[in-house]
Amino acid sequence: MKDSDPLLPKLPAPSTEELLLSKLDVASAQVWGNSITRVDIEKWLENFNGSSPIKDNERINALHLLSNFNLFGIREIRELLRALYRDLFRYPIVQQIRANNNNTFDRKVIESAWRTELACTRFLGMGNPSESGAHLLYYFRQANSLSKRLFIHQHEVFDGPVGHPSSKLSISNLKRLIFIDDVLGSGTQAREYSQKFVSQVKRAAAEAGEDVDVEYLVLFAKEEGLLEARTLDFDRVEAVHDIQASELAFSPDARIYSTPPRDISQADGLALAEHYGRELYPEHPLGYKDGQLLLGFPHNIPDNSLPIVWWSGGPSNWKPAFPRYGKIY
Amino acid sequence: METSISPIWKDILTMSQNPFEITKAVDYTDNEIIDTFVDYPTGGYSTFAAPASPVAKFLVGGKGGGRTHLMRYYSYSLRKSQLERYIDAVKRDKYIGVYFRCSGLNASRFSGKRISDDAWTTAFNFYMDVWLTEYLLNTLADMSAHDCIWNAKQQTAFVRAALEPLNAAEDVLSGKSALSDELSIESFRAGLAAFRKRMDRSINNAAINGTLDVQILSNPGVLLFSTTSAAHQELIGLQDVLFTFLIDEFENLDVTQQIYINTLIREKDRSTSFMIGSRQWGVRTQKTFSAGEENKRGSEYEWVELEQKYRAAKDSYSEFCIKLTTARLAQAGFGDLGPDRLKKLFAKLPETAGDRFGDTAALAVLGSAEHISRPHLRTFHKGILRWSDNAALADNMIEIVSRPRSPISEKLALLRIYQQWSSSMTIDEAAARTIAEEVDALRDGHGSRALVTVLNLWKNDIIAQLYVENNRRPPYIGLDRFIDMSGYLPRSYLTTLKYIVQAALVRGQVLFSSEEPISVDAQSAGVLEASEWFVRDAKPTGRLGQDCSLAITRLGTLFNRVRYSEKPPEVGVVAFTTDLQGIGEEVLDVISVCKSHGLLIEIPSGRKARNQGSILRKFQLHPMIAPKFALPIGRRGELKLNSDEINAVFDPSISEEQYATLVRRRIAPLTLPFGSEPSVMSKPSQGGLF
Repeated sequence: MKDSDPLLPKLPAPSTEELLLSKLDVASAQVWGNSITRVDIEKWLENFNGSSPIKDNERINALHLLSNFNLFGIREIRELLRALYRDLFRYPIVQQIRANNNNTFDRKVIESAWRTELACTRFLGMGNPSESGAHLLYYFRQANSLSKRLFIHQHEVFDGPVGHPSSKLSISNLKRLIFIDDVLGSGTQAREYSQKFVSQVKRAAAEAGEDVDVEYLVLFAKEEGLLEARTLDFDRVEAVHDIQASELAFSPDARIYSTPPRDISQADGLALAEHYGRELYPEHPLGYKDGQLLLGFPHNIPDNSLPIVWWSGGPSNWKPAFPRYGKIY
Repeated sequence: METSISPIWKDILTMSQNPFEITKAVDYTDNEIIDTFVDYPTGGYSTFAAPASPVAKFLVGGKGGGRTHLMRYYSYSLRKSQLERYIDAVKRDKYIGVYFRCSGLNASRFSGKRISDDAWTTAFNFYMDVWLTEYLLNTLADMSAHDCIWNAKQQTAFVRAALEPLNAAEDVLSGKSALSDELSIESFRAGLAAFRKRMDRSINNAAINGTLDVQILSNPGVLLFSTTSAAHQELIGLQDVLFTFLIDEFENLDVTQQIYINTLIREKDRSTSFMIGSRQWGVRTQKTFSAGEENKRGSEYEWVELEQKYRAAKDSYSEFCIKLTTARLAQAGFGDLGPDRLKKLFAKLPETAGDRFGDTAALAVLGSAEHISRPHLRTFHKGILRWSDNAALADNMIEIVSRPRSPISEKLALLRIYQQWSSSMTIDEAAARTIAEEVDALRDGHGSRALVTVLNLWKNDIIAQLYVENNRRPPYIGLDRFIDMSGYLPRSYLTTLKYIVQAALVRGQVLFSSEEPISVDAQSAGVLEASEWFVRDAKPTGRLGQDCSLAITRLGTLFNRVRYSEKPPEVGVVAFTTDLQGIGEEVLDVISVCKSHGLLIEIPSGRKARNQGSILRKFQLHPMIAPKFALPIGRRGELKLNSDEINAVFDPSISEEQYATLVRRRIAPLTLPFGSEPSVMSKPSQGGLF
């Protein structure tokens, strides 16, 4: 309270903690559909027991990280999936159609060729059918009003077992396979599926004398993930949003620390996240392969995000702010 | 990405569970308008805003007074389905409410584009005739299709009669040849809609074409009134029914456009009436095109200010607000809660039996800190030291007023001591001791009548000071307070509840459960949010809005500094009086706009300035704004502001420094040591309590 400044009313100045909680209130009410309450936040804050190097500053530094967490809702995901379909899939094909037709503006010509191209395309989720890539397909189909026929399971691509040298492509006139996913983090999963599946598609297509494009289109991608995936068998790897270094929690030019609230610093935030992250996920204290993401979806939180946000259970019975549902292999 | 699919952790597809989420009637569907409508107690809205009255009405007031909800509720599209045959609902009501909002007209397009003002006025007038008639025909066509009550002969007669005064306009407007044997309401409606669309096209392309190519087929009002008159004469069942045009958001029309509506009001026949909804400032003229005549209140129209009606019967307004709340809760599935049960769903401050001072809550605010370090005692001690440099005196005085179990006793005694100090310009131990003993007696139940009055008057301010001194905002709790805060604007009340519920939700509270009333913290947080919203929402747009915003901030800050001074001059200051002498036009404009937009309320009972004879005008900061500055909701005291002070608050060109100088000057006599000189009792400084 500034008692002596007559320009200001005599009122308590809200504490940094109160300001951050208010910010979270707004996010929860306006964006997250009241999915996290102050009670949930308080339970999460109880995880921080003062054992980190920053001790008394743990609560506000943890709140600062949480208040900068981007939890996308279903509405936002639908919009992103529309952007993915329009900008990464449809427009490049339409451009190609125009180029092949003397740069025509004739809508009939373009629309007719587009329908043909679409009919020769199949969409798949990246990874196992139980994983998030496949989960997104439902919303992808709805958001873009696509026919069910354009969506397949991976096993439907071949007439025999995937990986068997005699398996042939089972879809006639197939021109492209599009893998959809939410986040491309380190590229590990892309590598696994490229080796297991994409290489088999390429082999079968070559044997049949056909040319099948395999594309990997994602909503969000880290730069290293994009670079890694582009070295693989995919013909094209693109993201709706390339995650910049400044969007990572602890990069030197991290946006969330460009003008931090009072008593908040990046050094303290890092000390906190590393200390507890090491207890929870020793190999990857700041997220899988040093992910440092502050990103989540209603269906799950990527493990590239900070473990202090999503980790559940473990030796200290950690309570997550937004739980992640880990895979059981 | 290395994730797996699992149940969605919380259903974030589900949007808000807040029963008060929608606060604007335009966002409601017809069914929701019906479900949430609450008639005004003691006779209902029809006692002052009857839609079946042949006298035209201006329904005016602030933003959120309930006009749109009421007018939509009166509209045909909501009333019709209450009975099996639409015509029966209309006959029962004795009127057909044709509702539309002026914002839908996009009225600003009827100007500029190198077309003369006269041409635009003529075009607008006939366009409005067509527009209103089309709305009317939509209604008649709907009734005709649903009830099948008017045969071809009647419909043909109706269309011919409606178009008869328009000389050969049948082809253009009826959608059929004039020679056609059969005309219908539907063909008339379709023909008129097509004609209106052609007008739209021409109006919208006027800037490009450089011309305004519209056909004017009649004088203002002729098409409309001939159609209502024809319906009266030719359509069975409508003979005793009034056509009431419910024209909402009138403020969206400019002066000339409003003159057209005024002309309709003046020229209307007995089959037609008008109810005009507008913000108070939005009615720009009462002129007409009828030989320059002006419509007169009481003759051509009635003027109904909803807030004034609400204000006239406070109990009815409270009852109305509670019914609004229970209707919303019932609609949201919380069941039928009576007023008593509803009020109990909002937590109160902690209290214990026999605690007439409110010390239980005060002690909770002070926490467990050593009582001697209480901010009000420290301020007192410092004040004495600054005045006398006499630590022994300061220590003695602290001992005299100190009551560890009753901080309110301390505060009340301090207020009395400060009042005495300020008037006598000195501090007296014996007098202080007497005051402290009187306060003790009062706490024990046998205080003087005068001190009882002092406590009753000052208690709220004392408690608020205690909160602020201890770095907390004073609480705003209880349904009655939220009703008072709304300033007779139901939307403000509902918005307050909306933010309170939102605050309760983020705090993880179970809503409207008798086991867990909404906490004091959530109530106060919601009230503060609503207060911030009100200022944002009520202020006008643009530069004037910025000027008003600055003025309100300055005024709120001044009131705040007065309330939280050691010796406020009056109880609960949220109003000021002024004779407005020596005030420039620009400043008067800012005050006027603050008032018209509801940021300030003018209190009608202005009194005469002492020894001057000039009338003082009194303005209150809107109670919705009070929590933002931690001020009381109810108005009790007032500050008299001179012209310099009025300018410093309301003139945006006055610098922050000049404003700060004014506030300092104004609060200096209210702040320790009240401008008094050091006492003769001064002694050299020595060790003390602090």
